[in-house]
Amino acid sequence: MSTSAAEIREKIQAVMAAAEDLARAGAAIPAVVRNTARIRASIKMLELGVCDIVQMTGDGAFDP
Amino acid sequence: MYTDQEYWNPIAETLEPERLRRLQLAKFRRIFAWAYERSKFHRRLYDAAGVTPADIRSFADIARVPKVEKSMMRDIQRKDPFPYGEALCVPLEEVSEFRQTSGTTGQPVYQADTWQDWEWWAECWAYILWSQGYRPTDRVFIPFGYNIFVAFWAGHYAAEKIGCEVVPGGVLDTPARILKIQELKATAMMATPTYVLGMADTAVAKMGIDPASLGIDKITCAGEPGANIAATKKRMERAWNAKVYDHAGATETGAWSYECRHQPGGLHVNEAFFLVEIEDMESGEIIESPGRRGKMIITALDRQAQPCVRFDAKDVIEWDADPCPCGRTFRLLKGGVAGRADDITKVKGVLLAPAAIEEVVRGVEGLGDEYEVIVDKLGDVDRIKLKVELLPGAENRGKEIESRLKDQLRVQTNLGYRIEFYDYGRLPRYEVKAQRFKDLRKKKEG
Repeated sequence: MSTSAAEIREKIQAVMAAAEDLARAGAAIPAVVRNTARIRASIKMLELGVCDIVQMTGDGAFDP
Repeated sequence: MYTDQEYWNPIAETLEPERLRRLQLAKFRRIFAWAYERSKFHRRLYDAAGVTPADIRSFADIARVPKVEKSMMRDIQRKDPFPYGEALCVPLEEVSEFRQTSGTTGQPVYQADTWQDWEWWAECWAYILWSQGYRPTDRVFIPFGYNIFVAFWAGHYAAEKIGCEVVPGGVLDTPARILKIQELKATAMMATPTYVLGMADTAVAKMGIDPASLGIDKITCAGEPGANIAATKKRMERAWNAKVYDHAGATETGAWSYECRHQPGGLHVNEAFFLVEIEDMESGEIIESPGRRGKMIITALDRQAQPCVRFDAKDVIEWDADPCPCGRTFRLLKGGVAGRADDITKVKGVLLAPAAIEEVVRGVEGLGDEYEVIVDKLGDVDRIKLKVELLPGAENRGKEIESRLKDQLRVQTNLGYRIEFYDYGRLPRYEVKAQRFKDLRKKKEG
């Protein structure tokens, strides 16, 4: 099974949005705030390695 | 299985060159605007040059952006926000990591990183380690004194990220580290070339252990030249019966390059995360074509807390004309980092790169790994003295070795040397960065 980079990008964006929602929902709970900060930093690496490439360079036609 | 994949991130590492350039330009615009808007230091620098984010439309525009020198970073630090000063682009409470440069060229530079930046460090190192064959089945031993220098910290985190089992060999001494490698059957290691050779020496000379029998099958080197010097690499590979891979990075820049498992005789630049420009050292022109050496101007395209935008790293490099058989589209630097612009010095009117001396010394059979070069002046005349050690068993071959050494040094460096032989074990040993080149002329000149 293969998924295009553009599809992977959509899933990364969805995960980032969910992490941000979680951070907002648990804004008074240190464990939620700090753990989601780390989660978002990890997802950011996927944004740099996948989303940026799709968004900044073209159609995301890569087929892993 | 993902572990069969050649690339850590094939989307980035096989991107067509034209798209890579587009990515770099877009990312440069983003990091330039980030620094311009958030750092008083950068804003002042760019305003003085009349360059704003709106002006960056092409690589020619990037070349107009003022370079940042290490001395500038020294000048602004220890001011508010303490201790990083005016280049800090995030609130201080977002900084999670402090590191500093080793200070070999002067006052150490302090470097701030957020947790996202620290993830970025590990991500960049993951490209390195994956390309060198590190996989979740590896047990990685790190014989490094975990401290304020960044060195192998990010290698540790990247190995964890990849899924390796990491053994931090921090406060152990060299024999204890060797015994721990032996006990745990470690498969990989990261260290400076000096220490890779030093550990092998200790294992053989003091412990009666052949390092080649320990089962380490790959070693990642960083921190100083060596893994890119053919004779030194050969000595390390022979001593450990392992593949030795080169990597170049720095506290201020991040981990920007790697030698992949195909050992193409150079370093890949991670061009999805960094923009490396090569500047002619005389004209200042940006060199695009292979075969011409210049100094590296580097931008870390995604580092945020204390950005690295057109940093004058002073590494001397050149593009390689040939692609790597690994299939990565990230360009290669021929021979890795050839030296530092600061280290290349004129002796008797001839340009001398210390790495060329190491290549010769480590290529002569009968000589130990350690050596020392001392340049001084007698009256108006420069002199070079080379101190070397004869290996046990080679003591009677001094004349023959001296003759071969002088010949090869003449060929490689166009200079004559006074050779001094020492008994094996007499020259200084180093654990991290070695200081083997001493230019006494500079001291006299103040």
